[in-house]
Amino acid sequence: MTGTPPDGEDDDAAVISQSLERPEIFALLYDRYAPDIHRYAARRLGDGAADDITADTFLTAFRIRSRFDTARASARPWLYGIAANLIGKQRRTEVRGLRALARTGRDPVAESWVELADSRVTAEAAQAALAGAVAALSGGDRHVLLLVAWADFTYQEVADALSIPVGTVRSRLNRARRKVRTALGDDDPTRVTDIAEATIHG
Amino acid sequence: MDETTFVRELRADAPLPDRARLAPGRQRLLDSAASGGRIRRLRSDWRTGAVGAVAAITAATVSATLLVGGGDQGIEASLLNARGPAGSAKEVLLNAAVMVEDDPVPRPGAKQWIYTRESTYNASMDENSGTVIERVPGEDPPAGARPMQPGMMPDAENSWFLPGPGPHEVEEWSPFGNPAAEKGKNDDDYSPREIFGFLGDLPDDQGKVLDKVLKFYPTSAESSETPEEHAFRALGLMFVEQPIVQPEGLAKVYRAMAEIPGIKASRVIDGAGRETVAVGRKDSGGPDADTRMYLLDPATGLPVGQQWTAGKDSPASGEGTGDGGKIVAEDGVSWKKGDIFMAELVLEATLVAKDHERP
Repeated sequence: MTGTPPDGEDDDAAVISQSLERPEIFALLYDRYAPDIHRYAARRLGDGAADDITADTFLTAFRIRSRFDTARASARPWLYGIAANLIGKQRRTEVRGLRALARTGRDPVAESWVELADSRVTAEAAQAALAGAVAALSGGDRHVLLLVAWADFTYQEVADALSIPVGTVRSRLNRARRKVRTALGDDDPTRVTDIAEATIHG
Repeated sequence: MDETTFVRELRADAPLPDRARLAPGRQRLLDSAASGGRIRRLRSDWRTGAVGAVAAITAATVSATLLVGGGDQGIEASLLNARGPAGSAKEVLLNAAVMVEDDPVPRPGAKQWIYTRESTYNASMDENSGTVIERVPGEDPPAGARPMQPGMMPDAENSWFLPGPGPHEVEEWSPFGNPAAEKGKNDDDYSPREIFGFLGDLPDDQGKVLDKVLKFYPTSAESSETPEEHAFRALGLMFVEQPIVQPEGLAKVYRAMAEIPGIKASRVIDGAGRETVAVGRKDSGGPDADTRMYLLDPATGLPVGQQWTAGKDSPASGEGTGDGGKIVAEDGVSWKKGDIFMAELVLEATLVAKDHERP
């Protein structure tokens, strides 16, 4: 009886390896990650774009699956990296949505998944300012910030997803945070904002 | 609250899709799996080829049947969605132009530096020839590097020598504004700033773009290249030499290149293992002529390198020893027809604040 997968379920690398000979097995990865990727794409580009972004992410991943580094157990960074690339191609759409929120306080992206006509919510001034700051980031900085904030990636996972060194992830995130902080009106550069970092460095 | 938390709250009410919503995408995946998705894992790691042995590198051209996922999705197409490899080079270049032309235009400062990291391969290099790279103060030499003989060339003591065909990974730093190059009368010696500026100044009238580029990179008096070869080489030089991408100029260059007769597109896994779209053209000189290919990143449309494939075997290869072996030239240099004998792949190119800084 199939229900929840048993505890010994194959890790992503095993699924991908097996899919080389039995391609349909790749659908296991779809079942595992499509919901999160769909939500992430919707959050960045709106509900209407999420279906295609999700489908194309997995089709692309499937096409290039022989190059997946099977030393990595999890395919999540790899898949998000492909999605980020596809999302990046619609950069103008993304920036337009963020700027609309910044300018008017109404978020066309958030409204795309709200069904009720009278559920339009006006964002607080701070959120609007935040949207403006995120819109003004470079594509690379925005990918890093939103993978951390919206997909809960660690620095290493972001590095794997975007194929950049961990040091670059760190510097891009710091830069993005600085700009967000400035937009929110807090320009004290010495304030510790990363609780994880503060703990690590004692 | 810290700013990451603040960002987390933005659009936090985005819903998770249900199964029904995801079903069509899942079906598309299964359809492509059913249409022959079985492939061999690429095993050839050409970087481990021993010096002196035949480092046979063949362009892995993927057939059209693996091009799954339709192009009509209502989103900006990846170059992988171009219809079939042969005869579609024009379409690939026009699509690439659309992909890049709206990218943000960088505004480099004259005092900034360009950092590039490339993988270079040249089959005609043996143990006594190779690539010269810059020595970074305070750092160990890369694996396989030898010091240069003092006096062998200017700046020898600030250089390492990487012998053999490679592939070698090479890092380079150059100042964006280079007054010496800019002052020089040497026609081809442009600073990164001059090239970047030239690209930005290309005329909006697409018909005038090729002429400008041909004058920027003219044919030398001794060269026998045909007008089409000149055009393909000069336009390609524009995007190979551009220090960082000038997207408006690049789009115009792509559109001009799309009009050159004889160009062909193919899907190629490059020496760095990246899936690329190659736009190639056979040089003139008959069926033995080599093919020059420019490699584009299918996801962004940006140029990522160039390579040459051989039109015929190199002089010493192809002679059998009778036991399945092959005679290798005395100097260890050989390739077969169809092999990539030279490649320059751009792994990274970006602006940094100063010399020897890495991004």
